[in-house]
Amino acid sequence: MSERKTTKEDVHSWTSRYADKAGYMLNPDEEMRELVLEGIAKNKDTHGKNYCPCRIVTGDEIEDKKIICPCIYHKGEIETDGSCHCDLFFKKEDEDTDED
Amino acid sequence: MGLGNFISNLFGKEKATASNEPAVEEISTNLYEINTAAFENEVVNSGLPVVVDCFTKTCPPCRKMAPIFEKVAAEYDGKIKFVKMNLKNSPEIAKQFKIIGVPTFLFFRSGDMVTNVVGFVEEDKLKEKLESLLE
Repeated sequence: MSERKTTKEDVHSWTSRYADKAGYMLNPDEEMRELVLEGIAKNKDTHGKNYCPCRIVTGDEIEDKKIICPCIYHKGEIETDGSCHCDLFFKKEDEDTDED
Repeated sequence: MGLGNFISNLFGKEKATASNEPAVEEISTNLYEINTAAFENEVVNSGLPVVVDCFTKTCPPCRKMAPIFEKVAAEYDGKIKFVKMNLKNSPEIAKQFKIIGVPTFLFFRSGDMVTNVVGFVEEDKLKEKLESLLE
């Protein structure tokens, strides 16, 4: 039996939970969002970790740990740019809007 | 070339730039995708200044950048050569230039990298960098 492949939906599930918990939102642009989710899923299956698809896996375990999504840089990037480098997590634009 | 590569290339399953052989694919006016094996010839030995867009396919900022890079490439035809490198196929380039995120743009003049930019850049900012490459 082969191992089940990681799906975009798997990644969407935990990244959504993280975004909610951290007070962020996922990229509202579906095409771009799906691209990142797919990239993370691929990295999970290829490298065994949820590496950011916009960062380069070096093979150095300590360095690569920094780029496991959500990476160590994302908070600072969201604070200064409004989104993380890979455009997955965004600062919530309107805190008052509570759409479901 | 190994049998696997030969068969893949024969049936078009593998992109040429994923090969170990030097590969240069013209994407559009003044825009080429190359691999590591072609880097020396196409970038280092180029008679023109060169800008290299290091990207991966699953990176949204890279995708957002692609049409801008393509448009600007046509505008600088004959002045600056525009090159794309998929780092999934060319991990050696990432190591050589210590690239930690994509997209990363490397700017070369006379074979030397003079500057780089990491992340999505607006068209005018990209042009600013390109103009400085021509000075």
